[in-house]
Amino acid sequence: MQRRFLFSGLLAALALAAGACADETPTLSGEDQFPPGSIPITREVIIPASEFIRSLGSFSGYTSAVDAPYVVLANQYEGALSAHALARFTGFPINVSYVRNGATRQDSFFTYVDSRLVLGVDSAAVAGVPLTVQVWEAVQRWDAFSATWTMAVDTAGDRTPWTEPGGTRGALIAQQTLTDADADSLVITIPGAAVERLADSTSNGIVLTIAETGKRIDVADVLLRAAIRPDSASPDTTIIVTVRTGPFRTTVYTPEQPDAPMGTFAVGGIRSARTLLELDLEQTVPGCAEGETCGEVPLSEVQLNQVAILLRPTTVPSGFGALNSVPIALRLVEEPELGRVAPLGQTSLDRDITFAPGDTVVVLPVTSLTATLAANDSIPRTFALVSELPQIDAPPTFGAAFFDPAPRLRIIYTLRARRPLP
Amino acid sequence: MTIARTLGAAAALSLLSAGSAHAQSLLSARGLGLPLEPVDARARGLGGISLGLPDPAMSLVNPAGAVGLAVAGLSVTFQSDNVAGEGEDSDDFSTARFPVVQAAFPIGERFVGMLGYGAVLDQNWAVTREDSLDISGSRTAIVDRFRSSGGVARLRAGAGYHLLPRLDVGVAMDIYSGVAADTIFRVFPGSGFSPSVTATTYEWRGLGFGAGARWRGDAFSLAAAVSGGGTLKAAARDSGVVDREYTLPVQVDVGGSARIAQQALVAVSGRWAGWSAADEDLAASGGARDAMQVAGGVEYEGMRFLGRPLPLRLGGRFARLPFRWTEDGEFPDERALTAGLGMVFGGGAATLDLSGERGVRGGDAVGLEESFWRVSLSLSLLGR
Repeated sequence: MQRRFLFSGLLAALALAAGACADETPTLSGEDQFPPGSIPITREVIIPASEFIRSLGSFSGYTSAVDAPYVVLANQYEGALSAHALARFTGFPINVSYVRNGATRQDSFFTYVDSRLVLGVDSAAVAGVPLTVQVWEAVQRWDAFSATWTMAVDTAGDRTPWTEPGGTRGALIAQQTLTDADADSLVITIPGAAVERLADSTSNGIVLTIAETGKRIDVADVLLRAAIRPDSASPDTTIIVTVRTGPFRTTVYTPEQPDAPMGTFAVGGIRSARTLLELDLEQTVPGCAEGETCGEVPLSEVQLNQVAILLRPTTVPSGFGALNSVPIALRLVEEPELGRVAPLGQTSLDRDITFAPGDTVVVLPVTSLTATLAANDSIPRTFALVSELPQIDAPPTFGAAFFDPAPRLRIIYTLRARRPLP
Repeated sequence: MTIARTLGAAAALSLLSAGSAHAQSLLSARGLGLPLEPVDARARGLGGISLGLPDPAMSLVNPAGAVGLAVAGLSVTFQSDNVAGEGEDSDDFSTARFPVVQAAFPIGERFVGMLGYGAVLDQNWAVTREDSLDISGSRTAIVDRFRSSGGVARLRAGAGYHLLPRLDVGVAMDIYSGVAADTIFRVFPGSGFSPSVTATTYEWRGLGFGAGARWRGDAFSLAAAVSGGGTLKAAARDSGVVDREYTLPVQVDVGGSARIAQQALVAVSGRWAGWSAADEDLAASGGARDAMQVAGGVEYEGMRFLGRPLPLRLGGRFARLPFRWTEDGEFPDERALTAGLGMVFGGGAATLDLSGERGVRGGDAVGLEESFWRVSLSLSLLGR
């Protein structure tokens, strides 16, 4: 038994000694220390559109304004786009609670006093300050799910045009000027009497507009902080209740989102434009260093560092250019013959990509896709260029992005390096 | 049963890394790598002598070395190096490994079978560089790294025979095996480009033979061993590279020891390895020369610690290494001073040997100079 302990202890000591010692690879530095043939060669090849891409057409109309989590205001923006927001508030209180002398009291008789309409502003989507947002009382019934610039209701059984295109307006309730383009909110004081009318169940809500021409703003949120004074409370008691629009808000605009010219790739916008593309990523590239003469090799024989489609943005007419960043995705289309209704499959870009106004080139990395296509002949080659956020069906931006019909394919690759044995 | 289990555990422990030698020198980057010495900590404390000690001991050099062992035994050696490079192109590094594990088992009165596994060539090393490339009109940073991992190990099976009252002989067969994996990386820091990685793997295979003899006198012992034969083949698993073959060197070891006092022993050994046979094969990388080593040391057995013998050892070594560092430089040499001690446990059932070495390799004319500290620890267990 004693010997067993002895042997075990000695072995453990040996194992501990081995574990306690670092084991590092002796490392040289400098190009001249590399064995012959072991320094990789990286090359860049640009392939023109005609050799790798074919547009099958652009389609839109997959979403409408009511799907958007924002509303847009514009007044002859870029001489063309006008947009008004319609909102109807729900959830006004029937009675209010307050504390008086330490006791909670309820009162169903109360009065609205001057309140605040708070507009959450997407500071990245403000075109032109100062701009004045006007709040009008809507005086015509409208349907959030079908209202357009010309139609207040446009459902199967009810087609009612606006008396005044863009939303029939009554009295001007209030207005406020936004002077700081970086502001994240605009607060507009709404008189108590107007709040009283908006709280009425027959109210048609409000119409939001911009007073000045040539301006545009995206509003991410609309809420009313209604100030309430209970009749039974002391005169200095004011209760603030936040009232939201729920689904009862939308944007009506004119003209309609423009279609892309023939061949141009249209993406996104309030109507969620998409372009179907047929990609041929099974390219060949020179199999030697630049300046040397050699044959072409398939991509499966090189190491792909990046394969990217380079898109050059073009102008979107009618004021529909995106003011903020447009997320862009490339989705697999398994049944392209279905055209505009072809269902979309998995995303195919290496990472999330956004196109920001001012970008001169949009780089769509398709390295993994290229490697997959090179290894598997059975994968469809048709893809849809879309604007979307993961797991969200709403159109990410009101504005769209158009891209030149002649994108390029950039392949950055490294030739396999091997050291011949000495 | 207890001893068998312990031996099994020791074998498992050592085999975890005995075959894949870990780098000991930047010289692993040249020729076929750095030749490694399959000796235990006792021999290392005596300068690194390869054979010639009077008492029976397991040896991967001399198949006759274990003749005389009364019972089965196992020896495991652990080694750690700390290497400092003198040039701008290298970093300091430390390594840990089990360079040799061996077992011996007597068969009858005269025979001893032996089995051992040890590293032969170390091919672990790497090189890096930083640069930039012009991609899409802008400079893109790159980092390149070449890494060679692996080496050649040797499985030796042999038998020793007590031929005459003072003469033991032995023969052995060596199976060389191993893997050399080249991995070439290029990364593009901060660019978002995917890195490229190319891996090429070679399998080493070879067959060799060895023989040895030992003569034990009253006051001194002599031993000699020879090994060699055949070729070392590198078979590429990648179709893009070419297989290679190298002539295995004939290696001759001779050594002896003499008792110069009742409690003092002096031992010397010499080795010659005909690596110049591979000179033509390695011409593109600077060629090869015959390697040579002379080692010697003194062991003093008069010390005791806690009632146990505590042999102390001092030694030194000079070696001519076979592969050139640069094509136009001189071949490197190695010099080392060594010291060591041993402890016996369990009435001789277990022996623990410890050695330390301080040495230098190369020099200005070689193009590389590095100094090293090496610690070796051997545990030998006998199945009594």
